[in-house]
Amino acid sequence: MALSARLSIEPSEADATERFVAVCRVTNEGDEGVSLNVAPLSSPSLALEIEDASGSPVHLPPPPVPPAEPPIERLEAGQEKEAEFAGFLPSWTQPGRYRARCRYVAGSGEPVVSDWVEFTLTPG
Amino acid sequence: MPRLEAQIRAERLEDVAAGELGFSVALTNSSSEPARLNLHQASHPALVLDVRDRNDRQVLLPPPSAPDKEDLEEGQVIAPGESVSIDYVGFLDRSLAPGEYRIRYFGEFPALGGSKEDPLRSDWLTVTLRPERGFVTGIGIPGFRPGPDDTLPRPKPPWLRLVEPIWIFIWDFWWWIYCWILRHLFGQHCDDVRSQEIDQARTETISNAPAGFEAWNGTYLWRARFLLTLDEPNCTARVLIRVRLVGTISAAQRTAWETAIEAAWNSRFKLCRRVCCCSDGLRIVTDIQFVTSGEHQVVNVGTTTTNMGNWGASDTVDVSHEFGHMLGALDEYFTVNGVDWGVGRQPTGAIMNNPANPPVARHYSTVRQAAGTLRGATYSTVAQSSSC
Repeated sequence: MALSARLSIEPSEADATERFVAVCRVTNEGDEGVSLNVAPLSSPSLALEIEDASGSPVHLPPPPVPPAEPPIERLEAGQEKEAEFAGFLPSWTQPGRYRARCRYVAGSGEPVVSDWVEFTLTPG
Repeated sequence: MPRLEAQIRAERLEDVAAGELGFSVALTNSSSEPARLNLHQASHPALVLDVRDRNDRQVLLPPPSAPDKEDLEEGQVIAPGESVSIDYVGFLDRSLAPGEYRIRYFGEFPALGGSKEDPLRSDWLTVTLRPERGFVTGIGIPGFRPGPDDTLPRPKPPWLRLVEPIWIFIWDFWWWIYCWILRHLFGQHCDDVRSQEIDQARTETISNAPAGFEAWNGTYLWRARFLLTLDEPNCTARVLIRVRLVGTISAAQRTAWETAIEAAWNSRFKLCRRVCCCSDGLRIVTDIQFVTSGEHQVVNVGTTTTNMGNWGASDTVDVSHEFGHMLGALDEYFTVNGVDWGVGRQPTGAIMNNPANPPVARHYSTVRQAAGTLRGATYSTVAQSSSC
């Protein structure tokens, strides 16, 4: 499966956690369509990996209870699946510089990850 | 010319704890022309409430939340004769000194129903705040065990099930005599009310997720935050969670959340210990209040529920599970902190496994621990329908 992931976070600087919106895009870079398990993109807790300025992980609250069967969608060659996470950063996060990347975990192999994107939470 | 009138009403004016004061303001269009008011903006206490102490000094309120889209909109049209009501709760700082205070609605901008020259103001509401009882706000509770301690229930051995009722009967008899003496000879009163803001970090590590759900494997962290009030006169342990919503949701959807959550969690269990006051336990009352500031939690409104801080506007099932996290409960699917719970949404699974089902006693573990340290005692959690 030739998938790639991209992440954008808007704005790059804000004074309230609820202002940040992350958009994760998983693209099928291959020549053929694939079946995509979209469960890993269903929650910011599953799809986002966040670190603070010192490189320590910022853990998010738990994801929702999973469905009985993984939801599968068809992703044709060149198509992308987009997942938007408004207000993904918990309200108790301390001001500072952070970086995040989108992580698509499908199966037990290596996850598909995006580049790191930096953002700053300033004191309110 | 459009004209609004503001009337302020409160259920309780005397002996109120600062953090629990609540009242409503009715805004009525008394003119013959439609009037405009930004209800969302008017819901921010800091923007519209004028609070004065006994010496007429202004009491400053916490700042409003950052303006969102609805705050910047034109507002709603109030038809002639129409009235709208706004509730304000929990906006006064808990450390405010006890005494008499006056509060009124005061809108001096068109979005808030008035102008600088002609502000929209209600009559003054006079309230008496009582001293805090219990722990001082902001000081950690000594002895609070912050780590997850939820475990699978262990069945009692058969011999204990046989002997236990006899033992309980004998104990109850002696205890009744002891309490009778305390009450009638030593004049014991059951009037203690004490409150404490709880803020506990909770963490869980999910492992062994089956194929297709590997993304669930990982470590998660959140904060269980609520106001706990142990109220002897009413024999309740009240858990109040104030939630500030970000995003668009109708009043009906918000009410549906509140109804579903309180139906799932409220008055199902009680906290028991051997004591003369409230000998049949403190009923655990859960209350979710939607506020515009002074929140315990922020919830972003979306189309689906994706975690504790992101709820689907039309969802009335999974939100009750997420409320359980706010109370400090851990998940109960896959393997959590080494305990194997099996798959999620089992027909007989409790709410932290299957959000459609009710909670069980262990889900109130953080509440029980907090109550125990607040009272300096050990509580057990018992079904409301059972005896302590």
